[in-house]
Amino acid sequence: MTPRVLVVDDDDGIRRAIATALGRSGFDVQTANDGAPALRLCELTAPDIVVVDYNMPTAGLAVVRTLKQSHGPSIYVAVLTGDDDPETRELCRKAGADAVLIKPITPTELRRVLTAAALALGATHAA
Amino acid sequence: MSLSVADVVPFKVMVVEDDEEVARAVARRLGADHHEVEVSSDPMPIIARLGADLADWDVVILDVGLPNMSGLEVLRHFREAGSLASVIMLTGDSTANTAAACMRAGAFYYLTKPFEQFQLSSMVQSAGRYCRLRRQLVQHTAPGTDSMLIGQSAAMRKLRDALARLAEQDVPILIQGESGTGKELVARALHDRGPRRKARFVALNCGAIPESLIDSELFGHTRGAFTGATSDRPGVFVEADGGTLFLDEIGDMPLAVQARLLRVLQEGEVRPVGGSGTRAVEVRVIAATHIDLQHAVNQQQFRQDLYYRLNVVTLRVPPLRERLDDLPLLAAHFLKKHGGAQPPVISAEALEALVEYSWPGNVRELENAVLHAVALRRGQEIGPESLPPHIGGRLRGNTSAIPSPDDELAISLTEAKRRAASEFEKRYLTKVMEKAKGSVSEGARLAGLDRTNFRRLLQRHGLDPASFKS
Repeated sequence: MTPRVLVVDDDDGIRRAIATALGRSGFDVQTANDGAPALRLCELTAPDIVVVDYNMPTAGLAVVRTLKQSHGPSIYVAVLTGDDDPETRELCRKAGADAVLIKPITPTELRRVLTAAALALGATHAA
Repeated sequence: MSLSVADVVPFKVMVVEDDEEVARAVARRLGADHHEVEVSSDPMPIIARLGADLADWDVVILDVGLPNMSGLEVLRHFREAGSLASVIMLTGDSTANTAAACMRAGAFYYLTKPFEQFQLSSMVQSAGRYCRLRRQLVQHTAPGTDSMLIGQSAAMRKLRDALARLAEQDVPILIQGESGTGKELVARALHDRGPRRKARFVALNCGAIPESLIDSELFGHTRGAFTGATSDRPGVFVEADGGTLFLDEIGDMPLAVQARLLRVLQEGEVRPVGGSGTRAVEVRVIAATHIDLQHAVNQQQFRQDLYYRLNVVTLRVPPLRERLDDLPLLAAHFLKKHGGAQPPVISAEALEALVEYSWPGNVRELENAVLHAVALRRGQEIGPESLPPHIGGRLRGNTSAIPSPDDELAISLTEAKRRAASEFEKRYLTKVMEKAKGSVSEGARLAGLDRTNFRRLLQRHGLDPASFKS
């Protein structure tokens, strides 16, 4: 089953770049530019993986918490942030994030993390 | 060779393709072109997003063969949802049938695998630009009753909903309906609510023009092209350029003219009769007919390829007898229109007579009946005696609501002729089958018809060939 990723970032350039990197790597990709449309898309299309930016108009961690509350471990949530410091990482973990990705991230690294995530989810992915 | 950043406008693109290799390649190329690319190997989430109004793509690239649902089915969902996205179909099959099916279903265009990268890039550019243009042209008009298409019946509400959805899509539409049902009104409504509302609406009744003149009416003629051609004439295609062309009674168009019409639609160019130059035209064609065009295609009276071109969507306009609950509203409308400053009212008995009637002439016949009643009325109330006798007379002296079918005077001349013709046909067929001793082939030969049509006629009259075999 093709893994489905939702990329949530209000920065057009980053969102497009990540979507392309994932699309050319064989993922199904959807995009959203803020928290509310992201959550609506999750309800409608049940992605396996969500990559969400730390800052947007909506706080990225609010999205993380909402998703983890409703879906638990069946959705893999990675937070994208430019701050590579222990406090930020701790906040992300507390919110329930499965991974913290530091910008700028290379397509290769992104693929590596998300492919591993998809494989781990594979056993629980509903047909 | 990829397009330079200066050439490319970034669009939102959704790629629906279950072949991973193709999906990756398309995502790579369109990503390099700086588009925002979403990918789905499964059409179902896309349909879900359409339904939830979360489907704002400029361009959708859609494979014809998908799991769960065919690409053409998905395309149909897009059209029905009124999506303005330009859909590019991906097909592995280069046959004309598939291409025709894609275009017929409302695709922007199609790409046959394997395709070149630059083809993809440039087609997405055109498709995206087209979508943006349409979005700019569409204004959201408040929903409300269109005073030209009166009625609150389920049939009319359905028609108005269809109109609202279809008007904004610039696809050819075929309006199907009996004569007198307002097909031209529907065409005008489509034009007025669509992206071409500010451009011209030109109507042509193909049934009303002599065959010798129909070419020049459609495509124009140059001075001196034939006797009587004293000046250049542009033709309706040129007149309607950039706007909408309404071709009424398209079923009456001779086959030779159909061929020329098809070429103009395919090539976007007209050549006037007697002229040597061509002129590019860009027109939305809305066609109308009261006949069963599919049947005409089977009879080879109408070209199948033209039928497919014109019939991207069929809009059916209901006959009056299917929307009788609109009758009081319609009658009131015509009374106001023709009744002068103090329009008369319709009595309960007259209204009952109107509702009982079968209205073979539909709304036009109703308007004529009201005109007749307004002219002949006594006083401010219209009773059944003021209605045309074949309508008002049905209830006179009749205690039951259903008039006796043997009473020739109770039906209109049109209806009487139709019944007589049907009786005659049945008697003739019976005699023929008796002579043919139940053989359909022999009967067809005697009647001078082909076997298939002859068999269909027998079926229509409920005549069983086996019963003639004794």
